[in-house]
Amino acid sequence: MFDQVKNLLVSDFKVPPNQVTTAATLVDLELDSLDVVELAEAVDSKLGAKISDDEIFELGTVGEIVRLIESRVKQADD
Amino acid sequence: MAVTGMGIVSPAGSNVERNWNRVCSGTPTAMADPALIGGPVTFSCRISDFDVDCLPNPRQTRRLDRFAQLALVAANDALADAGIDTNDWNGSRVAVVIGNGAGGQTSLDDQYRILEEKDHSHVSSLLLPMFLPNMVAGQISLSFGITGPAMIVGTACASGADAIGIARELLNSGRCDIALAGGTEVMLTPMMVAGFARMKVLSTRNSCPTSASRPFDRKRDGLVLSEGAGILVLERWKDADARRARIHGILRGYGASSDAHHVTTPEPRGLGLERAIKSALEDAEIGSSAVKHVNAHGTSTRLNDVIEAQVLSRVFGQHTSVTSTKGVTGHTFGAAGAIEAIFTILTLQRGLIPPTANLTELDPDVDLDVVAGVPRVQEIDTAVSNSMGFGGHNSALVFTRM
Repeated sequence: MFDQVKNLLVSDFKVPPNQVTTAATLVDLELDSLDVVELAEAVDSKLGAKISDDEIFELGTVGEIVRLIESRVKQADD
Repeated sequence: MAVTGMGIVSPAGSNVERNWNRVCSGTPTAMADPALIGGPVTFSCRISDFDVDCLPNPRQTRRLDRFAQLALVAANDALADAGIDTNDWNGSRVAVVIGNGAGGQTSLDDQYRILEEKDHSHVSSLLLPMFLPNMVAGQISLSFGITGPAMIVGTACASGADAIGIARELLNSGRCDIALAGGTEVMLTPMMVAGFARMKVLSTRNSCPTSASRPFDRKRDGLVLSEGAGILVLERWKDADARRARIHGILRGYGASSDAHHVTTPEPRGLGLERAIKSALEDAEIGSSAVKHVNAHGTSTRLNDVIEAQVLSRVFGQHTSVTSTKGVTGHTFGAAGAIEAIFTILTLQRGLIPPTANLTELDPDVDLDVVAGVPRVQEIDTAVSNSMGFGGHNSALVFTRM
């Protein structure tokens, strides 16, 4: 899932690939509030997981966002 | 006011030289447009070679509608042409004035489709930043660290010319030292084309797009929608001279007026346009007999061309050569006044008048010396560029050679 999230951030949000690590924060990636709303929509439409922009904001790092997406995908599968 | 930098992105080319060569060749840019299949008009003038990756900041680019992307590239080119280092300027003394009619129509149409097909939760958070017409001025200010006044001017097809005129006022009044002024437009969406078609102003030569835009020709049947951006760098002459800038031409006068006649139809005698031209000449302190060339608005609609021609005959008579570069570029709407201002400056600078493409038989109601066929070599000191917009807006710019 990390690779999928990374691909999304690189292709859709033009984040330099080397900046996307599990420890990177939204601030590190220079993603602002408009981006986060877009990211929630992209995660839904492209990765099939419903998470809200508020949830993304509350999480600190890419790793945490990936874990939340994985848990939502698993819930959907169950 | 000195014009020290120029940038154009249009269907005629991705830079000023390519545009100039294309309009001088008289080769139309109109062609079949796959995005318009099924509509009443299935062709347009569309920029085919625009590469958004040429913009320096891809993260900013993804937040720009195409109308702002084009303007940003043209602005970047104009600043480079002016030899201005934006890392080493006082941005608070720089103004941005951009003409635009419709804002980010492409984004608006896309997001409306998403709203209809999905629901509100899928509408992009970037809709407003991409759609709002003023965002082009905001994004240019953001890109180049411009913290002086940044605004748009909306007078439909006259927007680009009015933006240049208003930028000149800002410079004249001392509110800024450098102005980025021009116009941009992208409204080639099926919905906008349908709207234009319903107004009966578009050419319907679907079987032969290249012959569709034919200003002043007896067989013209309407305008051809296009897209593009044109940006000029303006400075007071003494400032430009002091920094030994290359001066392309002098913006000598500006005049604007309103018809107060009809929402889209020009006043039948062209009295509004005549007032705008005379006001610009007065502003320039130049008599009409000194004007040897006019880059006409010349849209290729039946009404515009005849009314404009009558005005030009009354004001200038037969001694002034006239061209319309829309035969090649199509009608770039809010960008037209700026792109054509640049063509007018190049005509003065190079002593060459681009021909009016597709003009094979002059409308008998047009009693003017309209350049057709091949470019005409002619040394010209003073020229006028005209613009008229839906809403009854008229504007004229007077340029002189360096």
